Amino acid sequence: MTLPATKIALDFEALYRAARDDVFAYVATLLRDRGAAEDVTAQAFERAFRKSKSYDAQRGSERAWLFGIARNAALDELRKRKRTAALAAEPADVVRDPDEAFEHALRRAAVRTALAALDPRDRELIALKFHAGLDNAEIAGVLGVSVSNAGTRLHRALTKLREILDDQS
Amino acid sequence: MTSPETLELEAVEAALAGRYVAPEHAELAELALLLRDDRPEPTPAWQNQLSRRVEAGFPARPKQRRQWVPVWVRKSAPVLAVFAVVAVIAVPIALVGVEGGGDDDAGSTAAGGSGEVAAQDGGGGSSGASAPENDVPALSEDSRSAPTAPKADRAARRKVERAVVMTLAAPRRQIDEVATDIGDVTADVGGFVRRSRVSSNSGGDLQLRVPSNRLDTAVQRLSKLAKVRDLSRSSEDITRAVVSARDRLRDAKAEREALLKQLADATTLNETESIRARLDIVSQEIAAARNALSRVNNRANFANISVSLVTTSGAEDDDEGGAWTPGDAWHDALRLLEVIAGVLVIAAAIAVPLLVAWLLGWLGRRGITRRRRERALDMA
Repeated sequence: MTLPATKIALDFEALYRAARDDVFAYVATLLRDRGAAEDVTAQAFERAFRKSKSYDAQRGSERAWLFGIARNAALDELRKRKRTAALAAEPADVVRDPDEAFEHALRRAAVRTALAALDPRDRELIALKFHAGLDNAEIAGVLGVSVSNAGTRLHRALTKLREILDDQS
Repeated sequence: MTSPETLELEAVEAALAGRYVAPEHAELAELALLLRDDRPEPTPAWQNQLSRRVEAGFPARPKQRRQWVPVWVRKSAPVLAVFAVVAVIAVPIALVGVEGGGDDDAGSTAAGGSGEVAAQDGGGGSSGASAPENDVPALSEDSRSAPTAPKADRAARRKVERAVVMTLAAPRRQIDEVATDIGDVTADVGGFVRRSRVSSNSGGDLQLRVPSNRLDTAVQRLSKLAKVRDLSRSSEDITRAVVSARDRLRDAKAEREALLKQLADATTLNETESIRARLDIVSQEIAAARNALSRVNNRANFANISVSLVTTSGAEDDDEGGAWTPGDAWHDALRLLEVIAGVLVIAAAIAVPLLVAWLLGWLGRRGITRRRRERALDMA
């Protein structure tokens, strides 16, 4: 059967392979809970799988669509918990690479601390951009804002992050 | 001129893409790379587990079976059930209304006024009728008098004269056949043709007398013989006339009894002859009263059916030909479409408000959910 022009068949497995770790990274940063992030990410992919026939290419890219679903799942998890959990087990590998320079390791730890101190909305922007690897257009699609607005928000979040880092140093 | 914000964002993009970054943005580029390289990574075990589920098409987990009926639907189930019951009741009622309102057949034009019958009172209602009422088989006197009947039976024993006037239309070539059938039907229900005047070319009139208790059957069967153009019914309560005739007969009989006693006691010839002369007169009065009672009883026991038999037009002839023609098919199709349209309108009248209510509820629920999600992020 030939699908309409706007109903381009979604290659779900390819999308899964390309985006699985990105979605997990985004959700884990948002929830700050690795265990919950695993559950929510799996739940998001299952929702996407069930809804794959309703995907409309005219309304955004596959990744933006997928991250929209993941965002809703993550926010539902936050609603359910009504609390934030610590980023369990995440900072434990500060010295994952023994050959890594000490200064660099410290720098990474400082960035993590600053990221944790960010406002949730700003932290979400950082996660979408740097952890999930979305471009500004895809971020705009996920958040339901314009591309320019997404860029402005991202710049603001980066500025706040740098300010926190400056305060720490 | 490019704003500092744009320059910094471009520097971030360049750093992530591995391109050259100006020295003044080196710190920002380093931060971008640190953020990218330090993202949370899933464990291989979880990756493998999720990959297996993806390959299997996310089989349903028995313990987490999804509730296919939303909570709001379950909560509003009683209201929805009421709507459904109302719909189930309303649709057939409305359909019956559509059917009854649209089909204004001649068979439903019944005139119940007694004034119409008043003109027929006294001789059967036919001005040139030559057939006497005595043509009708006489009823026994015993069956006509019931002085001890309980009050409850009085209403049932009331005497009512009924009459039907109907116009039947048949194709010219079927006039004779229909006229013959009318006579057959009349005989079948125990009646008779009192008068008839039928022409093969122009139709005619028939005056029928049928037992009152078979009147409906007769009309029903006559209506099937040809197309009913017009049908009116009338009735008149003639109980008073029956009672009056019965009283006159009783009085006359009582007088004869008295005269017979006087005759037995008479002692002189003159007295005897005088009484005999009076007895003759009273006997004639009794006969007249008996005939009058019989006539009025027959008016109640036999109903008049006046049939006007007319010819149909050429177009109607085609319709009445008996065979199912394309014209019939066209009319049937139109009628079917009318019924379907009526059903759809009624269904829409019920469904549209429900759909609008559901849509408003769905939009409201969606908006509330979205606000709650955003609030959850703010509180995180």
